[in-house]
Amino acid sequence: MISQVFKFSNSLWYKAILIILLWIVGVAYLIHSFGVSLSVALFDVSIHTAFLTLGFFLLENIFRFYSPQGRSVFIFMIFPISVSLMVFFSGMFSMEFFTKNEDDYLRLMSNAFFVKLFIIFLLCLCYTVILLFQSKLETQLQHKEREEQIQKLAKEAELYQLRQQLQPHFLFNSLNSISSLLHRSPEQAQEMVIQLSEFLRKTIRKNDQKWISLEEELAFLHLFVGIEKVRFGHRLHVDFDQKGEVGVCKLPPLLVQPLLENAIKHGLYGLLGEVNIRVSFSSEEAYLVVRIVNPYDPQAGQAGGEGFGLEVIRRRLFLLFGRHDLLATQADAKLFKVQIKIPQNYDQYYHH
Amino acid sequence: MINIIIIDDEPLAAALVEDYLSEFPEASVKAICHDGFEGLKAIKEHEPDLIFLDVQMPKITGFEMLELLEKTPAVIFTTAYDAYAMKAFDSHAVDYLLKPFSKERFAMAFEKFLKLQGNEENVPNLLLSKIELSGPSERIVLKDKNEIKIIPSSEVRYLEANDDYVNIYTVEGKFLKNKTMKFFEAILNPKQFVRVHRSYIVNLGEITKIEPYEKDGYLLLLKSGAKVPVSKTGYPKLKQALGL
Repeated sequence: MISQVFKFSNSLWYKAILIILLWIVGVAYLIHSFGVSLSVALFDVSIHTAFLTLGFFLLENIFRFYSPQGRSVFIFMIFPISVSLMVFFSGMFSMEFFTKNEDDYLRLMSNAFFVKLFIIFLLCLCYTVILLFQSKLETQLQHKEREEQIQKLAKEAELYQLRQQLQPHFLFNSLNSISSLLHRSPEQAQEMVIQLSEFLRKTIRKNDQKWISLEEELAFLHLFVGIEKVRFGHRLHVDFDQKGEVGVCKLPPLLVQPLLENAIKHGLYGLLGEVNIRVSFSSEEAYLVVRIVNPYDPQAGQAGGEGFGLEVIRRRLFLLFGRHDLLATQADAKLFKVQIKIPQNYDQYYHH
Repeated sequence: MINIIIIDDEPLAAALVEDYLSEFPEASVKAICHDGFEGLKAIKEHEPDLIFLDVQMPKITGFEMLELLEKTPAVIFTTAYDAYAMKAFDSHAVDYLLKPFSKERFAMAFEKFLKLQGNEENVPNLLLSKIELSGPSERIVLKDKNEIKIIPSSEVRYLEANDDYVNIYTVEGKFLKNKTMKFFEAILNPKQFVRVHRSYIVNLGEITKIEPYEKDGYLLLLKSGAKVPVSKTGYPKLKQALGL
């Protein structure tokens, strides 16, 4: 508080100086009424106020870096006590130095020795209490702010994920395929409706908190590829393969599917003709490693708007594991490869 | 007889349009194409009266395919993309069908075309047609000696108006495209490209120096050594884009 006043950055210091002046005049008048000459009284109060201000400044700096927790009342009392002693004795010695001949004054001071010490102590104590209240309030505010921020981030991530899951383009084109099949082959249309419903149901039910087995994930991916093949069966081929002991591995839901969707999209829209995509799962040390390889056109550029969905996955991996190194990509002249590593010894039920 | 070509990369989607058209005896489907290149070839061959065109397709989009045509037939867009907002432009769209669409909605679009067919000059401006992509285009598609080129916009140095054409100066050299400056101003990323002059659009990344030139004019020096004039109205735009 005092340090704020001394920044002179706002009009606060005018008020502060006014209050200090009033205080000096008031207390000096009080001392004067005990028979001390006014000039000496004023001098005394000014000196003490100066030391007191210095003491407050000291207290403020101490409590900025140290805020006592709960039981340590003694430690907490040490600071105002020592500061008030410092203020008291510095005041006393400097007054003795400057006013050797003022008998009235010196007599009054020796009589009021403890009263004065006590008053200075009380002032320091009050200031300490105010400081502590302020710092508590600030921590609480910070806490609240941080909590709000965390909640906001969580909500944002959730929304982002939802949008990612329900790709309108995928959904409407699939519905259009059904509409078309109804004319030509109602049985296939029905099959597609069921596939799509199952896919949507699984998408909606899934949340980050519960990991799923690789088997479940594979069934989900096959479902997704099945729908895409109804739309692009003439061009699209997706191969799945597994290496090593992957049967026991688990993974967060909806992490691989968006990557596969991306790979399919870039393959189908970047190239003419057939598109072969390879998805492989392998167990390497403490990780389940997923690799997706798709052909692409490095020259293609973007027709507009749509950013690469990889950023979303990178972000999700970071939210899940707090690491940035789990997703890697590699692009050569014809193939685009993406690899994600899913830690297996991670607490799978942990979430923020 | 109305000659029709259906262009859609999903066979089932194209088949649905074909099925719906079978209700109209005057409609004759000449070809079904699954990408823009096939589409271009078929349009050249059959000179259709009407095309049904999907937007998102392999390699080049439906819009980009239209840009490559010298004479554009009437177009009915069929797309699942409601993210595309309509914006005034001079293509020949009659209507815009959002997938999945009903038989009735389809019939409405086709009948609209039939009604317009008599007076050709009404077709172009009918619907506020060229549909703006959800974001700026990061590439330019053009025809160069019967070859279709896709140029990433980062390789474009500047564009210069040239009668009915625009000269596109790129890393690879100069290309022509039969479009207006307004068109390029609209499709290119405004953070990267600024129209500094009635006849010039420049890639901000190419600028090395801005020099005063004649009375209250400026001249841009580009990395390639080319010089591009800046007009009085272009200068504030340039300053804003550069954050000066």
